Amino acid sequence: MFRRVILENWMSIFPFVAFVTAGCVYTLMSLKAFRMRPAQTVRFENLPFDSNETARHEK
Amino acid sequence: MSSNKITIEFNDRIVRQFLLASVFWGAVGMLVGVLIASQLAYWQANFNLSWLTYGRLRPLHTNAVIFALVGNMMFAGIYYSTQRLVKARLASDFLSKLHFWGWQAIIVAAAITLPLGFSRGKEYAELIWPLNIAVAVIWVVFAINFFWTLARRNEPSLYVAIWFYIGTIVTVAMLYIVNHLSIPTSWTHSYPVFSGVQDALVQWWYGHNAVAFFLTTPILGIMYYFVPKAAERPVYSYRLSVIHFWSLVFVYIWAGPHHLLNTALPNWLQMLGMVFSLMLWAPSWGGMLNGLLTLRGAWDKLRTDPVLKFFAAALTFYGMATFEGPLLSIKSVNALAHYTDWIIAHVHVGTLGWNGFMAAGMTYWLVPRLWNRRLHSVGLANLHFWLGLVGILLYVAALWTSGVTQGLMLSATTEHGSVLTYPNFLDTLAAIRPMMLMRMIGGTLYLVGWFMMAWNLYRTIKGADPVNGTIEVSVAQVPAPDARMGVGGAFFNPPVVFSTLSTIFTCAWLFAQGAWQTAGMIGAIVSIAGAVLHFRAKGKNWADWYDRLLVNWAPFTVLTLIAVVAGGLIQIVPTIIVNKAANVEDRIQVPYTPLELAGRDIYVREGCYNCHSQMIRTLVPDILRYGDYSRLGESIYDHPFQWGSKRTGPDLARVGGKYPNLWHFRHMENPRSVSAGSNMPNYPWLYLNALDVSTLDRKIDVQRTLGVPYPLWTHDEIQKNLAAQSASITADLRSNQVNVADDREIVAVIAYLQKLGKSEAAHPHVAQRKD
Repeated sequence: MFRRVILENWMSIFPFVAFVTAGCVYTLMSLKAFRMRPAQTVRFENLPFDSNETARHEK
Repeated sequence: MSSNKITIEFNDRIVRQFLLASVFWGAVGMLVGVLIASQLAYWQANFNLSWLTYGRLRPLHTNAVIFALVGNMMFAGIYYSTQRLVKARLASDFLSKLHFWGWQAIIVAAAITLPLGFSRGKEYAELIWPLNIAVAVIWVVFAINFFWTLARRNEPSLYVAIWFYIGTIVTVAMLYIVNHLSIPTSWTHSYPVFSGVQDALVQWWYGHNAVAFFLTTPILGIMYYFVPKAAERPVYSYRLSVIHFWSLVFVYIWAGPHHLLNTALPNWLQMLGMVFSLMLWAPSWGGMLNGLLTLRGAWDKLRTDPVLKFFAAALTFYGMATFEGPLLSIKSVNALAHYTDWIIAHVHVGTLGWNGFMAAGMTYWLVPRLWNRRLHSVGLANLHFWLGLVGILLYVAALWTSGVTQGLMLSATTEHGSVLTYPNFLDTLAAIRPMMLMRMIGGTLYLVGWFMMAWNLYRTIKGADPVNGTIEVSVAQVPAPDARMGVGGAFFNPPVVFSTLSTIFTCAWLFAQGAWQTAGMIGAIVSIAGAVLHFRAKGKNWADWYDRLLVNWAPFTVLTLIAVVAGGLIQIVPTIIVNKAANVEDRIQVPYTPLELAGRDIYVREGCYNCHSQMIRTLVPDILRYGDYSRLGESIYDHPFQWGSKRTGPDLARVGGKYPNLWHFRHMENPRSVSAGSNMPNYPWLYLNALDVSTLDRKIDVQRTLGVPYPLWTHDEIQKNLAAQSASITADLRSNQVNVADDREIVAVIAYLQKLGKSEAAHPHVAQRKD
């Protein structure tokens, strides 16, 4: 029993710490995303269309 | 900025090659899937042939669909979209070719070795060690080609699809290498370095994240490129895509333990897996809605455009699968669903619905552009969609019904919960047989649709000229010098420095003792206060750092790697340190004898783990049916672990001694002779093949190196031990009028099965300490 206390129970803190850490990352990235400048988002979201592609036939 | 313009011709040949390989291997993988589905319904479809049995073909099916269908499709999509998003041709034609042909050679080798029974015995990680090395090498080739292309790009910004590709490349490399760490015993066999609970945790950290980072993140990147292109409008919310990426990358990696709920895995890990799985709901649905809403204003096109139909349905299935996954990760729901067909239904919503339909949509969109010709038949493509959709719905509805039915029957009790209502496992199998037939029909419909696509593509491509896209770019579009960061710049900046210091000091505060704890407390307070003050004074620096990160792929990649490494380290390192044989309490496994070890290798070779678990969960119905729940120490020497993930047959954790040797002999010869209604294949070759003991000495040496407490046996001692146990079993069989030579494989299998569940009282070293 003593062995279990010193070896295992301290690890039960991990779910809590991990949950809080992940929550912080999630919140910070959400804040960062919502603070993006409109011009910046328009620029990024149009990248897939930012090409006037032509085609060259393979020989 | 200079106005110098150059014309770049994309390498679309490699895209065409991967695309066609995806269609071909998809057909092979799904054909094998339909065959093994028919084997579940009709055992005769195993044909009494070793290389056609369910246990050997199921790994072929899963590996083919994951690595051959989705792998090839992913490479096609990544190479096509990356070149256009960064306005650069792939860096190296040689590496592109090496990547393609190397990957196909691995697939062919897998298609040969898996049916021959060369297996590591871990799901989706069955390939033998030489192929593992080949996969790692080819993946590195892919990574070099990809990152080299990014380094040569003519577009400074990195679109969100590129982020998902970066996340995929670094994470898959990490997962694959760690889960495939093995010590070879021959050119075709190895033992994983992890065992028991450690192996289980590493396997499902890998297995779950194979789904996350091989079947999901690259396809999300493809979604963020191809859905806007097909809908001819930008993604609904770029902001949402940013949140989607970071939260998914950070959260996904932690969820692996949800595959091991209610098992002997330490509870803190089970809780961690469950909590993070539930947290996945938000980013997954955010991404799904972002994709679906990209189709805003284009819904009318769904009536006629098969590409949009496939994409819309794929996103819907992504939403369904990512709703169901967290649901199944709740311990009480998992108690019902785990080991049943419900899990198989969940997997197929993802693979058939999400991956398969995204692959089809992308293929129908790409082929006319890559060969400069209209699709041969839009009507046939639409028919493919409807056949596939009906096929999926039949398939998953059958398996949902089957899973819930069998789960409820297996856990049903009477007499106030003290007696099982259906004590005979075969009663539950008989109940789901109609659903097995339905599953076969659903899978066949989906496969027919896939063949239609192959025909449609063949008619489109036949006689057409392949074309490569070209683009004119300004050569000066690389990041300005002040926007460059370098890998060092990713770390030595205020946000990262303050975050790192806060984390280190907080951990010291939480876990250290005495002066270190006090120092940790003071350090944490100072660093957090410092971060707040610095942000207030120089907030722009923090924002600039993030903006520069978005145009600097190397630091971005390093930080992504850190995000995914964190979850793995925190789960795996404590488990490796603590949950080892020396610390086991209660019961500990007795190492296998040479004959039992040889029998176990045959068990792994035949893929028995595909249908039989070796893990009695901490649940009353499991204990009533199979005996006392499995202790962590009872499989602590198992390289690899064989806890299983599906019970098409009953659990075997305590089958040792439950039946006489004669029962096992008859059962493996013809399961129906002792278990009426069983759908297990016959194993006639076990009665014909002589046991291969040529590498047994080496196998025991490797096991000893890995920590299994084998004595330092000589070759003669091993052979003597083996011969004595074989003779004992065959003598017992002879007393029941069954004659079999001592050296047949069946004798070793019987020896192994009779050992399962045999353990001894544990005497952990720490418990013996006098202090």
